Amino acid sequence: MNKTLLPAITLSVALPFSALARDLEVELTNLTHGSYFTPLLVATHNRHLDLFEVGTSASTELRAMAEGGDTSGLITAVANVGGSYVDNPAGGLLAPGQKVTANLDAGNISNKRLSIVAMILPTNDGFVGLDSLTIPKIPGTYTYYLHAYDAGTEANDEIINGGGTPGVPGIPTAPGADGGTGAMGVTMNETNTQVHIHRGVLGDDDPLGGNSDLDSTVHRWLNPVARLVLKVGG
Amino acid sequence: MMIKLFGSKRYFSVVLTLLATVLLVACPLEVPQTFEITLVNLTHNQPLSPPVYLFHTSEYRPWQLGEVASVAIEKLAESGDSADLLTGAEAEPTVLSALGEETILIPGGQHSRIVTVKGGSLFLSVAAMLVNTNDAFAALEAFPLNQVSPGDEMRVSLYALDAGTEENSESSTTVPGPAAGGEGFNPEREIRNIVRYHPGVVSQEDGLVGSVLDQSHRFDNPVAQLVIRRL
Repeated sequence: MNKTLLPAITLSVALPFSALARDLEVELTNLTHGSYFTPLLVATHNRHLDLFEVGTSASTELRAMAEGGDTSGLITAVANVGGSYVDNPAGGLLAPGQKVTANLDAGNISNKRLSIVAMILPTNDGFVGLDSLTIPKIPGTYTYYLHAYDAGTEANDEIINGGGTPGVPGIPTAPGADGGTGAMGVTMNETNTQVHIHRGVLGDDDPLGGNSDLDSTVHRWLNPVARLVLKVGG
Repeated sequence: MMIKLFGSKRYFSVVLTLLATVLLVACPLEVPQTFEITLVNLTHNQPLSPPVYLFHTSEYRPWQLGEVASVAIEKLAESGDSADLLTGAEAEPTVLSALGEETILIPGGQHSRIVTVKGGSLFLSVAAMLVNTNDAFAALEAFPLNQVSPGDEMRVSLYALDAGTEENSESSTTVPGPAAGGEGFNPEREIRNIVRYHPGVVSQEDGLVGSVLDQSHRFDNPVAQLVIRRL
């Protein structure tokens, strides 16, 4: 008797959850002129987590992502609150003008928020981000535009030297093979050490010197830097 | 009695559903929709070439982000010449109305016009060159007009796209607007030959040697505002 009851109870408990679980399709387009996104982290989570928060100091996990594209710490943070996530949907870098689609189940019913982050290359500690968007309840297609943020953890010297480890100055690389060398450095200071809107890169027109290793006609951007098309299933 | 009542109720609801379906499908196709559209140039010193308005179905796109621009878009973005875009759109069965303004839209200026279009699910795309650039254009990409109810008004921002068809050298020989009077359309393409968002202009005052542009030509998004009023 008990044996037949048990599956029935399990079913009645499981059904409401599966009916409430929302299938999400996240389509993200890199809108920039000449900048790449490092492997993206797309996550749903509850209200107890912020992957980043403007006006606060970056966490060590955020810093690792913003300075070197390393999302492992943030993934652990998402997992720790029972969130669900898609790691690196593009299978590497997302080039300018290109888009990628990630499908995920919002998972646990309390995962009402959607967050997305990836480092912008070539920058010192710039990243594209979406912080805790409340996932719409009504099934449908929604479009959002994302901004570029500065983690506030590294001076924007704009020197390409391979430095991607947290605390090491410099830019890891210019994936478009359009960076320069021999720059003197734009600045050694980071006056705003909180997470803030990125002021954009300066660049210059001297590939073998000048203040910046970035190209002012290639690597600058204006906001928005990404377009998100979110499809919420029934 | 109960059975009969239930039956008639059911029949009634079927008729209602059918009626609703007929209304939903037939109405937008047969009833023309009228819009008043007003475009405002929000830039400081970037006149807009005569704007193009394309009313179309969901299948049509005048350009696609991340894809190579058509020659018609290249001509519009490099020289402000909308003739090819309009001719091409008129030949498309998925474009229900293709309209081109006659005059330049100066910074701070606005154009307004009333358009009546016959169609079901309508989308509006708008394009106009920022003439003091190499290949930037103010763009609205397939805005769904069903978001605007009759009697309502919506304000939509236009962002600056880079056609990806010409290097952003900002040189006097390649910028066609009043800042330079350089060459317009040139069939050569840049290496990053895809449509994406514009990075803004650098200008000579921000260190770009060879730029004919000064600080007044810089811009940020949005570059134009479209007010859509459904009459």
